[in-house]
Formats: sequence, C-alpha cells, structure tokens
Amino acid sequence: MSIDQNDRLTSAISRAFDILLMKYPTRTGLGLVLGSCITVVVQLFEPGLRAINFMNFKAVPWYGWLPIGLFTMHIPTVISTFRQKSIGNDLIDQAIELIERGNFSKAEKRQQYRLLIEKVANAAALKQEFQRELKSIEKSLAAEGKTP
Amino acid sequence: MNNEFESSGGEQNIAQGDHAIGGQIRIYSIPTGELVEIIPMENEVEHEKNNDENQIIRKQESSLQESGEERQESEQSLMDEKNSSSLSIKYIQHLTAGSRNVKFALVITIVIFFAVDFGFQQNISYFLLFILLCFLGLLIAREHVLEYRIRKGLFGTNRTEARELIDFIIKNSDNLDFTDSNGNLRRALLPEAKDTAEEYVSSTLGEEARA
Repeated sequence: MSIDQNDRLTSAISRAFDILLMKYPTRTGLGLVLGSCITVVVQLFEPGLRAINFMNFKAVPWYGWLPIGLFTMHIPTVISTFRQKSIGNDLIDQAIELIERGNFSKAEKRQQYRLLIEKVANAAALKQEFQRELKSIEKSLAAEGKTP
Repeated sequence: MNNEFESSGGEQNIAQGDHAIGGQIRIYSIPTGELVEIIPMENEVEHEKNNDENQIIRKQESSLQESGEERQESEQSLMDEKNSSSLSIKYIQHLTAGSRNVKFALVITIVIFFAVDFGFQQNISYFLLFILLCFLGLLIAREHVLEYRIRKGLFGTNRTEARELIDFIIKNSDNLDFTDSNGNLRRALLPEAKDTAEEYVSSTLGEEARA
C-alpha cells in the first residue's frame, strides 16, 4: 500500500471514529455513563418517583435518558462552537487556508502541514524559553532590590 | 589372447580351504582389530580438527552477530528515544490519559449494571450494555488508529489533525517540555514512514535494488 493510500484510508477511519464518538470521546463517554446511570436510578426508584405528580418518569423509555446525558456532557462543546471558531491565531488560520487552497499535490500538502506544525512548536518553545529567562531576570532583580 | 598367469612366486596365492582369503588378509596385512582401531582414530583427529575450526568460525560468527545486534539495538534505542520525544507522541499520551478515566467509568458502569440486573432482579436492557461495550471498543480502536498514524508520521498532515495538534501545542505550551534529555528541541512530528512498496523491494533485493 502506498503512503498516499495508507494516509487516505487511516484518515477516513479516523474521521469515522470522530463522527461515531462525536469528536470528543471523553465527553461522549461520560454522557453515555450519565444517561445509563439515570436509566438505572429511575428504574430502581420507580415506586418512589411515582409519587411525584408533576413529572412522569415512566413516560421516558430507557434509551430516552441517553441523549439527555450526552447533551449535558456536550454543553461545553456547544458553547465552544459559538465562542471560538478558530485556533485563535489569525496567522495560523491563514496558513491553513493557504495550504488548503494552494495547488499542492498530496505529498506537498503533507509537507506543508508538517512545516507549519514544526514552526508553531518552535515558536512555542522559544516563547517558553523567553518567559523562563524573563522570570529568572525578575527574580534576580527582586533579590537585588531586597538586599541593601 | 593369452590367459596364462605369470608369476615370480612372491605374490602367489597360497590360501587353501574355507575362508581362505580372509585368513590370507589376516596373515599378510594389518590385523582387522587394529584396522578398526586406526580408522576411528584417524577419523577422530580429522573430526577434532574440523570441530576446532567450526568452533572458531562459530565464535567469530557469534561475536560478529553480537556486535551487529548490539549496534542494531543501540540504533533502535536511539531511534526509540528520538521518536518517543516527539510532540505528537506527547499528544497521544495526553489523549490516552484523558480517555483512561472514561474507560474506567464505562467498565464500572457495566459492572454495576450486571450487579443490578442479578442482585436487584431488575430488567436492565442488554442493548444498553451493548452500546456501552461498543463505545468502549470504539474508544480503544480510535486510539490504535491515531497511534498508528502518529507512528507512521501521517498524523497532522490534514486540516483537522493539524488544527488539533497546533491547538494542543498552544494550549499546553506552558506545561510541555520542548527539549529532550540532551537539551535539543523536540521535533513536533515523527518522520514519514517509507513507502511500503519501497520497503518491500529494499528488504527483498537489498540496497542495490534501490540504487
């Protein structure tokens, strides 16, 4: 299998998993656990819940609680889709758009994405180093200020 | 044609009676007992010589093999060290750590379901259990696919994955260690795996085929 075919196949499988797991597996998993737990609790405490007049718990089938659990856990996902559409860095967004729109071959596109990620990682490393140095300078200045 | 046998007398066959030839050999040549002793001795000497040579060759081969294996191991360990220090590996470790709790929660829920089903005689839908088990399987399979893509150097080479990885790097830039044990900058992605067809050709026909 060539590298292009391998990439296409595994990418498609990965995307299918993302759809099935609703992009955020942790939230989806916890949503399912929550929904299932509600189902069991409702079933166990059914006699007690019958006393509540304003709500008919028995009207909801066992699978009805799963979407409620999923929705509860995915509230942050819903909020994030409204709040932040992009990574938050215009330059990176532009670079991604340029790679997508550019007339690159598959191999070239992969290479461009690799370059972009490497550059972002290098920039983050430099920023971290700069911040560390800044902190050490601040500390040394503070120490000098304290000593008469 | 003259069939007469001329003889000066020295080589005359004087053997007579039953087993005459055998007796003649016993008289004029080396006794059979000695022959039996001598032949194995010669064989043993040759065999010992061969054994010594074989042992030397084997020792040389094993030492060469060991040095080759050691070199391969050291190269492999260096590669592993380099590979394990990439940021994409950190990303999959981060993902795995995140989903570990979910897996644990799912397993606990499944166990509780079974306990409720058998202990409290409640009819818990087995379809619900099936959904939970399927989800657990999907979670594990997704991790394997992602790990495969990362190990092959394919991860991060499309829009979605690149965004995910960049997002991870930016969000965790304060906590991530961007340098490895030697103080060098970690690389973000693992190198792309070679074409499998090319690998096959090189493994079967050697380096010459590639050249």
